[in-house]
Amino acid sequence: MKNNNKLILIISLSFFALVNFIWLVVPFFMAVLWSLVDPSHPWSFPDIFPRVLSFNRWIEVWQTTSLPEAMFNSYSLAPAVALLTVTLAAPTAYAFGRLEFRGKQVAELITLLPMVMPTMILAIFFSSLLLDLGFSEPYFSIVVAHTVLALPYAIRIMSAGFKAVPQDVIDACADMGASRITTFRHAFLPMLKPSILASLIFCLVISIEEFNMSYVLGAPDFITVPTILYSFLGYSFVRPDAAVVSLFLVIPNVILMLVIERLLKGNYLSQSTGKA
Amino acid sequence: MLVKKVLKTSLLSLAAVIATSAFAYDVTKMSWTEIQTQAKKEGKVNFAVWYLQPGWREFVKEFESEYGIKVRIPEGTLDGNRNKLIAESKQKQGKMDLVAIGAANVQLLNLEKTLMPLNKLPDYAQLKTVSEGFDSKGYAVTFWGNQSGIAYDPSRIDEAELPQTFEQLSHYINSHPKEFGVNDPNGGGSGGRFIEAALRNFSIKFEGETLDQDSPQWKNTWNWFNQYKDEITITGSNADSITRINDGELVLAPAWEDHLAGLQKRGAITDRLKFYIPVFGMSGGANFVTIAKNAKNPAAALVFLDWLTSADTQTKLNAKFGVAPQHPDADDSAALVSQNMRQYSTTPLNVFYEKEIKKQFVQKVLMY
Repeated sequence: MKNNNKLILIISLSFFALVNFIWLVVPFFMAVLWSLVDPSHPWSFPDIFPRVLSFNRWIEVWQTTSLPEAMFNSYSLAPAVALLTVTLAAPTAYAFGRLEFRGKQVAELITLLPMVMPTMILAIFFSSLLLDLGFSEPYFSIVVAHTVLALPYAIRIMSAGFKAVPQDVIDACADMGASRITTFRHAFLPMLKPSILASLIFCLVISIEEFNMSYVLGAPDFITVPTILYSFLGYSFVRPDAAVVSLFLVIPNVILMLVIERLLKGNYLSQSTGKA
Repeated sequence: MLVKKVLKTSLLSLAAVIATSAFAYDVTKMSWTEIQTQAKKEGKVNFAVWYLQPGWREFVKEFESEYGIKVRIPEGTLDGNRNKLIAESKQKQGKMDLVAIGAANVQLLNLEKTLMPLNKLPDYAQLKTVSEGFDSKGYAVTFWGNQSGIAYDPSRIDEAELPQTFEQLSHYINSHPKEFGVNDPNGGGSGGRFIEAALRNFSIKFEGETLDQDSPQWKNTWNWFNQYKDEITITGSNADSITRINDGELVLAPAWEDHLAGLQKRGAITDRLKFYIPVFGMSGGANFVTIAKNAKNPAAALVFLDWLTSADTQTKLNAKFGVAPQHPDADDSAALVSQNMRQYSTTPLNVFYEKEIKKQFVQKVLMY
């Protein structure tokens, strides 16, 4: 029996490793390899590996493409989206997490609508709506559009955070005569921190990776990293350049996901109440 | 006192802005010297071109240092740029200056309302305003000559064995299954130009014949494709075909001369790959460049356009990107094909065929 369990464990772990290798390691390795192909020694049949590796392609892409501009746009949009989304999501999340009212379940379902609508369709309606309202400034339009897309995530994460705050901690604050602000600071905030941070990072990642809205509302003169990647996959497809641009897109996101992972692991509830 | 000073400075700045704004002058009424002076004042210009933008950014550096005018090459697709040009045409001043468009696109624009007439250009009389049968009526000039043909890997096929007729091509496909690729015409023009050549060979009986949408003659071409469908590799785009030749999967595939040369110059594919125009003929053409009527920097746009279409710049474009020069005095010796081979270049069929080929290829070949 013990041997069987061990065998199952080995098979499942090997399968897990194999799937990860095929789906993650190989494409990532190929992207890194293509990005390092030296421009003066192209990689072609019958060479199994590139003849010369260098960072020249990275330098060239940085100097001759709009990548710096796209990165500036993406990384200035994302914080604005994250802050706006979390601010707008907080009251709704509080209502869903701490209040009981008629139609709560319906309201919770409605807030999820932007998640189920195809973003290209949303983008086309948004574009027409914003133009009708007289907003042609792409930065503003994209911030609004990304906020709508990120709101369901922020509301879900933060309402779980509000729900997790124990009533006895809030009552204890109230018993000691704390004002609403003090109660929020001492009872809510320590336990809301991970969900606020997780929401912020989710919103950052959503905004950085979002393509449809950015393309419809911003192209061709306001570009973000995903829209520049799209243009590299079309007529101007240059595989080594596309590899460099996609790595520029992937690396900050991997770092952000690792931060989320650490934040979600922390058990703030037990740390603040002493209860495991 | 301070308030007065701030007010005075603001008013002076506002006056300066108004004086240099696009609405304070009309380039169509200025002399070329005045346009050049005004261009320097504008100091910058946008050139929306939908392909090889990194290469263009390097190429325009010479213009920037010579004229002191900064050129911005934004990212963007052909459709995106064209739609923006149309959308902005209602505004007094748009964000676009120069826009590159495919020849057939001129028929989608309201020329008079959207574009600036280009007869102010000093070399206007020598430039072409008609491309692939589309007349820009002086609102656009050609700047980028392109030729479709077949790209191949000379390390895997001898030059003497290159298929020159459809019979030879059929024989090659039979004896080398999956080594000849054609891209879906919906993903790139070179596949469409090859299908056009097949139409000329199998369906159109005499030069100038127009096939009706439902003409039974179409099926002669689609029958050929369906006969060899399992031995031909259908690729996704122009770039996909070239990339697959580079990787050793394909040996021959329709491609654009300028596209192949551009990718080689960029170091994305090997210099070994070559290009030829088969004796059965494949079509060539040229892209237009135009200026928005409500351009933000109209004088700088005209000066840039004059530089771009000059004989000297066209010679350099030929050397850098392998394009066919559009100025009669330019040198085209750096192209991928010889002048002798250019005799097989044909005139493209009209836009009706382009649309019909895209539609029917999906219905009659891909879904058959």
